[in-house]
Amino acid sequence: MAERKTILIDPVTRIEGHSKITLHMDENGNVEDARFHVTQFRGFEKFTEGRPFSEMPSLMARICGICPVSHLIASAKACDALLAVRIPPTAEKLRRIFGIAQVVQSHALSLFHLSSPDILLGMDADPAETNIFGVLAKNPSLARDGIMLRKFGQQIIERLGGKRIHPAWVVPGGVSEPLSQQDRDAILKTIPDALDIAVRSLNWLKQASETLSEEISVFGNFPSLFMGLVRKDGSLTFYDGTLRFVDENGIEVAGNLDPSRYLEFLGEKVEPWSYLKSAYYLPRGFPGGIYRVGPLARLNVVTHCGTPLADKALAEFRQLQQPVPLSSFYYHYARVVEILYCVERIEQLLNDPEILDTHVRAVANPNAMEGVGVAEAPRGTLIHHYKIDENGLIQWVNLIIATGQNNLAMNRSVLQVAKHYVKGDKITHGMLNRVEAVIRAYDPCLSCSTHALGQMALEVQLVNTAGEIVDRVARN
Amino acid sequence: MTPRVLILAYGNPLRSDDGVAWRAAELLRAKLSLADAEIVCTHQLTPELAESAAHVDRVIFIDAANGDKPGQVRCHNDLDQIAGSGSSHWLTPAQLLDLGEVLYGNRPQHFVVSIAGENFEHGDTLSAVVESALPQLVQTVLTLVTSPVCSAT
Repeated sequence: MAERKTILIDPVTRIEGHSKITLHMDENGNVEDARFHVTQFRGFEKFTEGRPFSEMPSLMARICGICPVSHLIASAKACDALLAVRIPPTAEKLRRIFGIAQVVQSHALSLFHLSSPDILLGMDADPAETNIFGVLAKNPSLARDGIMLRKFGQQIIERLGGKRIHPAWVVPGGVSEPLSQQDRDAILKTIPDALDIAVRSLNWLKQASETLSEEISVFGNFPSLFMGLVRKDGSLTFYDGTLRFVDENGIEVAGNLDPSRYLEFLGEKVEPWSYLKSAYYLPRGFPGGIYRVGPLARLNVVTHCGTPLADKALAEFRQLQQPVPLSSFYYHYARVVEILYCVERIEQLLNDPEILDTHVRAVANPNAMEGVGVAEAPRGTLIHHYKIDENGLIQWVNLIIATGQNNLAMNRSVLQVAKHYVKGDKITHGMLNRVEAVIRAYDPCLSCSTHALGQMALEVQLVNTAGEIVDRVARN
Repeated sequence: MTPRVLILAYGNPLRSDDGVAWRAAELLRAKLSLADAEIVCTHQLTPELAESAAHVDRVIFIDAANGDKPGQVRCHNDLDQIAGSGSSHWLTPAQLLDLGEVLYGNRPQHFVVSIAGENFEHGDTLSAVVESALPQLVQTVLTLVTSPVCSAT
């Protein structure tokens, strides 16, 4: 009787911790199951218990060094709800700028530094070259564009928040400092170049994707729900609005959902093999309630972006697959459309007559014992939910992060890619790179270390039921 | 003509002595004007800093080190002495300058000023030995801003 085998990819990388993938083979050497394990455990929900609620934004920003701004904003919004205040309009606009500046820098990191090597150099390229230096050797202007877009976003964060990483400028009730005219003008000067780069990047991606039709067809190309925040007019937003679910045909399944009532429509399941919970749409149960969040989902749930260039790009995006783009490869494309939107939107907001107003913070004591804050992080919808006691001390915290909401979809995507590319006993770099690349498309934090410069810490083992290593590939 | 100088102070200020560069940057800001040098504090050397580094005449990296006697201040320009392989998020000083040279066509004069740490555990204060050596570190950097001469070994 033929043996059943398991391919173990360990570590794939980190989500500020570790993860691994196991591919389970049947007796004929075909992949029958795949599991994406996140073995990281951070415990923020527990160790913040007992802390004053006002500390939460700064504490929560430490969850992530890449998108601390999203945690700051979602946390501050939860604290706004505890204070039961309406923050000053200018503070809200400044928070919007802050949030989407981070989207630009995070998306630029994902596309240019992490995924462009796969797209530019090919999925079968030597892993030692699939990094930013490989990109600059083949297409220096693309590498320059990636660097400049990152810098664009980070400089806005630094000008508003005082520093690039873990800024504490967003506070319960608003923001701590108004925007100066000098900073406003300095940011506005950088807009034209950023827009040029975004347009150029979209053109490059469209052309480069033409050679990847096989990957596009199996990189998480399956029906699912999509969820994201939308504004009242149905347009794209990263800050507020209501939640909307659409299905694989683009038909609304649920809309106008109050994000603060997420427990009524979102469920979470814990699997024994991962610390990452799997979120699902409650009315459809588990795992039928699989849904995706993030750039692909956001563009599938909105009616329009709300800025001229992004709306034009969205119209082209919607021609990629009918009735709606389903392949997770198109997360990359959606990211560039969102970069365009963010740059255009930042310009709109900076030109708002109220943007230099100095009233940027509402002050109050807690007026509610429970608060929920929801925002769109670069990787998808982010929910912070706090309960406090009469002294304002945190009693209970629940966080639902984008990576958890995409967990089911990532597992299914890995399975789809593995079934297509992994055959028999031999493991090839190209095969492994595709398994990793589909995870990178979702841009979970674990994509961070998958492109170490020539020293990717990756080991894959093909193990039979007796525990013997049949094949092994290491990238050190 | 006065050289354009960029001071890159990097490390983690929540890891005790690893944050010495940030403390040094505070002291340097009190003594230098923007015309003298641009000072950037950062947790790690990220690729976008390559652009900034390629547009100056001199880059001074300030970092904590280990291996030497705690408090030992060193100044050198041998980037091969600095271990590390880099990643998509951070680069070694040599990689940062390489990237800037390829993309922007300039490799500035460069120096590394380091101080050996004693304690790298969680904390936002420096160990006594590093605190007492901080003035020497700052003086070494100040000298480099005006003259490309290492005043420490």
